[in-house]
Amino acid sequence: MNKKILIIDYGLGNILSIKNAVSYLGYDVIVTNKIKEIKSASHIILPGVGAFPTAMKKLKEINLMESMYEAKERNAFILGICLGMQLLFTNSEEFELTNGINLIKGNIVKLDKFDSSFKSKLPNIGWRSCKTVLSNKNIKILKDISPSDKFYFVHSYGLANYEKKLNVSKSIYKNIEFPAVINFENIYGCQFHPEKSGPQGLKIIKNFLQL
Amino acid sequence: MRVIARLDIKNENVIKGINFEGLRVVGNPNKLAKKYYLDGADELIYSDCVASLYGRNNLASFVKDAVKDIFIPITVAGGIRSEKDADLLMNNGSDKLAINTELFKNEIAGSTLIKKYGSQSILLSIQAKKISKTSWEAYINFGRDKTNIDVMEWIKKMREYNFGELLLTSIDADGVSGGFDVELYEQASKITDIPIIACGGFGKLNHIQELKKYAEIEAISISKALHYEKFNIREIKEFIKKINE
Repeated sequence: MNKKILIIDYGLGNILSIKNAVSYLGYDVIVTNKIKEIKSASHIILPGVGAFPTAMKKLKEINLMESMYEAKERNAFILGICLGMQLLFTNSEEFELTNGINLIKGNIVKLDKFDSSFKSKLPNIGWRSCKTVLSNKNIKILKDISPSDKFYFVHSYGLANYEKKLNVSKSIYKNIEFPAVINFENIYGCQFHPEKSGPQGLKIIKNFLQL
Repeated sequence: MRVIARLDIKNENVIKGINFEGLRVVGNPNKLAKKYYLDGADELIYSDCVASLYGRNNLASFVKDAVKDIFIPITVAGGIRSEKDADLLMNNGSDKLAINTELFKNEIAGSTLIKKYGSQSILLSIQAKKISKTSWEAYINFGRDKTNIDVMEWIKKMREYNFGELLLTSIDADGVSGGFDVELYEQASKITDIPIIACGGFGKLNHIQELKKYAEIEAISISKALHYEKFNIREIKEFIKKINE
């Protein structure tokens, strides 16, 4: 099957960098918000920078929800990046409790709720590695990534209360551990920005595009 | 601690001066940016030195070109006055914007952008000139003009707007290579809980160790020592790794 790589453009986030990363890796890519295009895509990238409620509002404006369920049904590969990863889950408490796309069950909560003794600065900005935990051995987009490779994070919220069947690779900020890469069936997500994480970030995008 | 390479740009060139004055041309922005990226910089700052003065930021086309093959975060500073300016830079590949001068004319300029792009994308930029050992005055227009406003008071006042980071530049230390203004960062880190980028003064590896003694600083921004190849980013990062162990 021919690959059709698509980045969903819903008017938020630095889409140009992801588009450039995909082009740099030698793939053709479409940036669009057209449902018709999304319906025939083999690889769908959902970017996202900004606030959860604003993003969900924009996604609903372009009627994206249904095409995401449909993409899951037909086993298209989906990659959510940063906020784009969070949007794949049930809901988020950012500003106000807002429902997400809910392709996967889980809640997005503020990082300071991960541990009551957490007192450090937020957002968590910086380069951190993905801790290899038992469950990430099957995460295909982490192929050839070493435990010392670091990725660029900038976020105040993280994934909590997810189901056991989810594959998770975690990262550490101060005294908390939070999911950095997630995978369930054909759905992938990175809490960090692979398109802003140098050569090792490009490797993750490449792994995804090779699926 | 992240290491950020900073490019001060005037017209088509990267320039560097001492205390923001006596600016000299040091090279082509995107050539230097590419080199710093390959050397392992954690981020880049593109700063338009004449933007506030002339009322426009010139950097969108540079950034657009840079992000074709540079895959680390890029912050743009200088002359961002309106949502339109911000949109142009963000649509051309900037990840973050740092705002200084406009805030003194329109205090809520930052929060408008924060609502649109999120806190993590909008930085509070302050240019501090030392008045005494414990006080600094905020300057605008790339260190040219006084504001008569105390830096610490300004930081406190800006807290309510939820900027993602504080880019705090010491005008006195800029381009001198004599070390960071450690008192500035010590004071600032006590009154704000957003991450601080220390800018201005790096000349020796030990300056980082010195800074660390006084304040919890999340990132340092370096320009001159990189432009003149006194240090390579890789060795600076190695050093930081070593002192953290």
